Amino acid sequence: MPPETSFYMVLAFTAYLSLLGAYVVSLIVRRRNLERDSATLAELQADLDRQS
Amino acid sequence: MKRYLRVVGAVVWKDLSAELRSRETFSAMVVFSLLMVLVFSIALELNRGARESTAAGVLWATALFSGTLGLNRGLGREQDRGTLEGLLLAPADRSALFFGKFLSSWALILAVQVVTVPVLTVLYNFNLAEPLVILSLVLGTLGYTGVGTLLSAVSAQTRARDVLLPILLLPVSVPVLMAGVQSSSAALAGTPWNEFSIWYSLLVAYDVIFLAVAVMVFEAVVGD
Amino acid sequence: MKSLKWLNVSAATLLAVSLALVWFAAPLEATMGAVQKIFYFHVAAAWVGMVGFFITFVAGIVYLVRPNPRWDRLGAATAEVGLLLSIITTVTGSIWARPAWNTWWTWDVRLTTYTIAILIYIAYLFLRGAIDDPQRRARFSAVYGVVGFVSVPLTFLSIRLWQSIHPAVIGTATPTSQGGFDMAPIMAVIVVMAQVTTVVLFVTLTANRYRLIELQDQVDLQKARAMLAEGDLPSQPAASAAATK
Repeated sequence: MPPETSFYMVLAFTAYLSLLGAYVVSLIVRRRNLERDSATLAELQADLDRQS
Repeated sequence: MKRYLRVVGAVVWKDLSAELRSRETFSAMVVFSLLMVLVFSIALELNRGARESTAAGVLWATALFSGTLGLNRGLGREQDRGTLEGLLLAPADRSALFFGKFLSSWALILAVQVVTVPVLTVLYNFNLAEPLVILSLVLGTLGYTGVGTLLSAVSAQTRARDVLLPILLLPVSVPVLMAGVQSSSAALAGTPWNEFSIWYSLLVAYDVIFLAVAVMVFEAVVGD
Repeated sequence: MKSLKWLNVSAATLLAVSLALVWFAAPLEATMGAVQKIFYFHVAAAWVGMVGFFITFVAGIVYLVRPNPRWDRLGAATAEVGLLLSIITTVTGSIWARPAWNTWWTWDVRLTTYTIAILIYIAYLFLRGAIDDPQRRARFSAVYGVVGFVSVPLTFLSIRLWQSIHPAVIGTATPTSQGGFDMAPIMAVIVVMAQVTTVVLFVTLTANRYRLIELQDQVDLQKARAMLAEGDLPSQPAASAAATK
């Protein structure tokens, strides 16, 4: 009869998936921020081009 | 070859004579070391029994932390004064500059140990100046200063400056700390030599590997 | 762009399949019970994480010989993903150790080495964050990627030597109790599945991170160009207002 360690199994998989998930979320957030910056800068560049 | 050695000697001479004149870094390192000894004594409540086993740890922690102070000053100062460019114009390989900086920092770190070892001996009431402890200090600080010289050149050219050096240097110095503490405490406990000589082999291996790596990549961290 | 989407989907699918296999198909291990199931992913994360650091090391050497921003991006991406996998390794290892060795933490050789490796690569990311000039950042992180990786085997060795002198570990079971369980054929299949999943996950995350760095470099370039343009035309209140936004 194996010992009862399901609690630690659940804990371990929760830790695994949350760390992985947190990293994926950070990738998505960073990507979104960069895309926004890029769009703002492109707009700015277009403005400058029009004025000059 | 002769010219190479002359450049190394010139860098060492320049650094050490400047240090002899001001004694700025040396005194700061000594005072910092004494403070660390005091802090450890209070934090660890060193009674006589605990002292023998922890003295080696206190010695090494003090050596490494005060070492980062000296390493930070070494290239950080050149950076502040803008004299790094001048040094780079020296008519020799960049590695001559590395060896010069390395030797002057190493001399400084060892000089600080000449003060802290007797102080620890007096405070803890037993002799730390055993030949094997000295040997492990010499070997350990050699590799530590080698990597430290390289990484101080790196950290001196970043925004974080002085803060970054210990963060970069300490995790790669774990083998030095481990081998240093283990060999010193074994030597102090009077353990037979063949039972802990392996730590000295590890220190030598660390020194050889990291000096080689540092010399090879130093070119990449000075001068654009 | 399309290939990245395809990679993402296949990595997510593989992960779901492997998790289902581990949870529902893998037999219960006799000496450790359910918690042993994390080992499929723990072991895979451990070695793939080290491979990540190794790629950072190789990319660093290649960059120093032949400076091309591609190698810098690769090194940065694998260091970050390797760091993630190493953190996963120590955290799951620590959770496993609680029931198996009766302690959350012991100075076990592998656990300690991974922890120090984590600190090294956190320092690596700090270093990257502290330098603005892209070429200098690339050179310096290549140097630290090399120095950091070279120190790892020496750290492992020093901790193992220390452990052999001080074998007393807190807890009851010896740190070797994880090896050699009886492998049923289904277990072997799942072990392979978990390794493949982790490798695909590693490649996917690295590819995404790499793409992100490319985007970052592009934004930096745009920023520099905008600043330059503003410098050329000093009286541009509208433009500078937009820039500060």
